[in-house]
Amino acid sequence: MEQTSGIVQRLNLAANAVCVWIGPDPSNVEIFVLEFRPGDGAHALDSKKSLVNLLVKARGAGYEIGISHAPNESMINSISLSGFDISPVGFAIRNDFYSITGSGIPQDAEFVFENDTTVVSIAPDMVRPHWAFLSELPAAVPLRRVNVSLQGSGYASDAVPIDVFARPPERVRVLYPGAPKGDAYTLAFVANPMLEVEEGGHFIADPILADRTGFHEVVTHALTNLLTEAEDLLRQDNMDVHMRFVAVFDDVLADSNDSNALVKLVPPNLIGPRQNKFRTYMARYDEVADVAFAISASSTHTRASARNTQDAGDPNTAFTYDGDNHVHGHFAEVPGACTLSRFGSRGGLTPLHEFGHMASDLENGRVTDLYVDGNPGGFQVNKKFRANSGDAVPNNFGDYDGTDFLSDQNRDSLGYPATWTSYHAVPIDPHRPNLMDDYWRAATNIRACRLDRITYELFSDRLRAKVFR
Amino acid sequence: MEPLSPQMRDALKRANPGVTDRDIDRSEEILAQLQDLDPGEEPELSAKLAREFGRIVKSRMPRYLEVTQAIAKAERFEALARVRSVPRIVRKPEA
Repeated sequence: MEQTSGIVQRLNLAANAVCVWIGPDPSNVEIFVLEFRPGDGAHALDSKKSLVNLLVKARGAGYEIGISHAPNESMINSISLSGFDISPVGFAIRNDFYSITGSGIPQDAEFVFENDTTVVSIAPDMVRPHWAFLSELPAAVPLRRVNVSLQGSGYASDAVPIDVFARPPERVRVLYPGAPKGDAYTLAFVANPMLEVEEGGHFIADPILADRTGFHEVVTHALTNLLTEAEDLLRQDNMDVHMRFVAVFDDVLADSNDSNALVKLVPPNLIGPRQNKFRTYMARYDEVADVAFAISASSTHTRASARNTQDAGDPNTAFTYDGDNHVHGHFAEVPGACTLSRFGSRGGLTPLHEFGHMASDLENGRVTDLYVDGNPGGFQVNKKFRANSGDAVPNNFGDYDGTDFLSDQNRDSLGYPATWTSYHAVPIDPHRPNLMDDYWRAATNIRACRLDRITYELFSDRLRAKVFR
Repeated sequence: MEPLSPQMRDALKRANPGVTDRDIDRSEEILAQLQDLDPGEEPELSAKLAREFGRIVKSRMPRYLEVTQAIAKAERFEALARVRSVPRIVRKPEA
């Protein structure tokens, strides 16, 4: 058998045969035939129908195929699709998010869009080895058929033919598909439709729905925070390869104001998540989020806040903390929820800090704020209390799954106020405030702040239990 | 809850002469406690904390609301002024 490869330039469907013209361009082709014979059995017929289906799709998409045939014969024996080493995610729509997945993508990779007349190159807004992400597909990218590839130092991906559209962006956009299964650990970013006012019971429109660009900017900032800063909680061992990221921006409001309000304005300037509304809201789009960021453009209330996940009991992974039995639930009964302001500072770690709260479980180990002394009660992973503020900070902070972890004697670089009874676990980076503390007070490079050691270990196991469920 | 930004802390001090870091930290403690309460649960404690927060603001930081609005406005201005990266476009020569 011989193999002839090329683009499907033309396809002719007749009553009992399919003719296909293969070649690099319409003037340089070879013709092949797939014949349906009266004697074809059911199996042969199904097989030939599949080949025709593949030819039609390859013709539509502009993908190169290989046809196997006898030497100097035009009858098709089999057809193969060579495939690509990158995979565009979803439709390419100007001004919408755009992602390409692959492997070994270098940090300096650029998106390259090319047609017969133009080459448009643009640096991604975020790069992981398996994911290049654009906040908005530029209007400069030519419409209709183009080839897209990723190119960086010593790296050039295959060029994949795609169609570029100028139409309204998608309401629900998968930014990264994660593990190929129906229940991949999912982080959602949602444009909040309505705000519940401070007094409660009344609702106003959230201006974010009139600011799609602002929504994209916050999502991009959050992704950069979660996946590229010094704190590698989500990306350790490339765990984020298995996580699914999705964005929802729906300016067509259905149902009641109450069900559309994911954010409540809280005095003096807080945006609080209305946590019990998230699951139902996401279900409209057939999405089940483990944790969700609601993005608001309130002009008066801009301070982010979060509420912990409430896990379903089973299935779960057991662990011990200070000798007590607990579990990491594999699924959320109530998803963790937090808010982010469209106008929040981009210089800090707010998305990662709020993820720390919302992705931890209310009953089986809350990760709490360390910049206040107060005791929110319940089982806290990262904060303990002395009987009196004058008491020495104990040497050992806690025991997680049989391993002892030390206390932070000095509250990293900040020092414990004399009146505090609370104390923390030893930080990963002893020179900067804990990610859950007042990271704004880091002497240098705020975004290099990290968690403490015991929280990192417990949280890592918790994420693994969920990601590999 | 997001830690209080240094800009907000500085602005509170500038707008409310005499206010101390301790006053601000106390107000933060109360806000954090309020945030930790389940919505609708413990309404008496919630009201008590809200009253205490109001007392501190009234006595020590009477311009608290004004400052939060000004900071929000500045953040809004800054966010809207951010510059995005520009694509590089090359026209191919005609064959």
